[in-house]
Amino acid sequence: MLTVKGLTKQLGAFHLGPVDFELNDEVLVVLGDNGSGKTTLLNLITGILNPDAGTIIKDHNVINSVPIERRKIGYVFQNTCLFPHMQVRSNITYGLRDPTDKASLQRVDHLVKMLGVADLLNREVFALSGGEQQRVALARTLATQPEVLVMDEPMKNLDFKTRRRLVSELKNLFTLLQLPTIYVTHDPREALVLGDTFLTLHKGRSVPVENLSQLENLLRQEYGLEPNEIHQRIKPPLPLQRKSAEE
Amino acid sequence: MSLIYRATILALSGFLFLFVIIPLLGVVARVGSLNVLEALKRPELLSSITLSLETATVSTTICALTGIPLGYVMSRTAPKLSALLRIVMAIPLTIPPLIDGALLLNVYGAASLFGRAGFVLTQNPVGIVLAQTFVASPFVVLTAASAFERLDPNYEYVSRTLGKGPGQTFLKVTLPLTKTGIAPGIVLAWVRSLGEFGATVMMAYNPKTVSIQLWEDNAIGGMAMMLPGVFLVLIVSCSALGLWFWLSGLQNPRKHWLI
Repeated sequence: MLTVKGLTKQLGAFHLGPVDFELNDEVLVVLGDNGSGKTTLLNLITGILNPDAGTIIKDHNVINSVPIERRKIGYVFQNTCLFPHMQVRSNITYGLRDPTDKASLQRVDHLVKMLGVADLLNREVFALSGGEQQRVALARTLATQPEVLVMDEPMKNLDFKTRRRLVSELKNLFTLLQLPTIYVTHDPREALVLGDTFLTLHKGRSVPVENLSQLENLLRQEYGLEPNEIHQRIKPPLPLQRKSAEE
Repeated sequence: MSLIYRATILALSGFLFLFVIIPLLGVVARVGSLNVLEALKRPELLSSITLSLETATVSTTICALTGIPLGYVMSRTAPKLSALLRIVMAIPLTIPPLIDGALLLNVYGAASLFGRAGFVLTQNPVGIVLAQTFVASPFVVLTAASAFERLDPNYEYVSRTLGKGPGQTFLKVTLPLTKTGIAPGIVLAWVRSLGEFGATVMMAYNPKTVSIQLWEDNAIGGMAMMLPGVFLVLIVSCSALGLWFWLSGLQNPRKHWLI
């Protein structure tokens, strides 16, 4: 479980926060335009930046002063940042404590099969397509068994077809993993497919989305989507309909 | 108009190119008349070349071991402090080498605190290494700093989020991804150390490095005595230059994808 309370950060003229949310084993989608503070929020949670105020609590422990490498928060960056001096296999096993440990290697073996990158292990990373790079980046992050997963616009540089396929794959993966996950995007359609809960950022201010009608209003006002368009794009068993049924 | 422009560019750049290459070709043209092999039998020339190769290697190792971390600090520190560090570290390059030597002599000479405490840091290989390190260090520090600055810091953050500490991240990610940017600076530092004269002559006239030996050869026997040694040093320096170009080519994004 991840809890964020009153998190703020001043970066030059930009001010983020206060941001508050609580996240169980579900997917929190953070929506917002460019410059709204989405990446800053992730950098604060992962420890790349230190907050000016507020607390980050993971599994009942305040982790504000815990170094990045000990937070056990997996971070998939927007541009993947696969290490270009290593092959795919070395990238994926990079974070393993003992790369010769049989159990770890079996877990990685299972992971690469699940993510469909088993055939890419001996390839150079620059020879991979955008979609393959994202899969490898995700495998590399999951190989370390993170307790929280954060993803920063992983689909940003991908073409439409690849995005559509990956979004659907990610949806299944999130269901399987059952990890507290923060997924940042500025694509409302992607958000609708992947999100269980939602938070929007607008020029650093956070607007929690409490219910579906609030989300629909937001998508209509901020992104110009019509309600029928929103519902048309959602097909079973995606979260909006599931939640509608619950409601 | 275009023709005049092109002719002007060609003439101006051609002038400088010829100005540099003619003296080099002048030595090569005289190779036949120079008794290079005979010169190699002169123990004082041979020992001066050996001493220069040894001290340049030690100095460059010191420059690399200390200059790479300093370059990293410069690249990751606040802009104002980074600029200050950059200016200070560039000073040895911008002042005459003799002045570099005078500055060192003031701190490490016989009359300095070190000297009076009994440390003999001049007129020996230690003095040569001090002079070479002082003069050549900017090449390593400044090229390392700019190589680190060009590296996307997210590579380091990825490594940290994958459980590696700052030290492991530096060794496994930062250095491998910047080595092609840093290596040319190390080669230049070695070449600069090998040919160092001004600061060295102040710190250690003896034992003689190759530059001091050649200067003395010229004073005693003129060009005929000096040129064989000059030719030998040219071969060594040009080989290092070839290595520098090869390493520079590695970081050219058109040829290499790494940086």
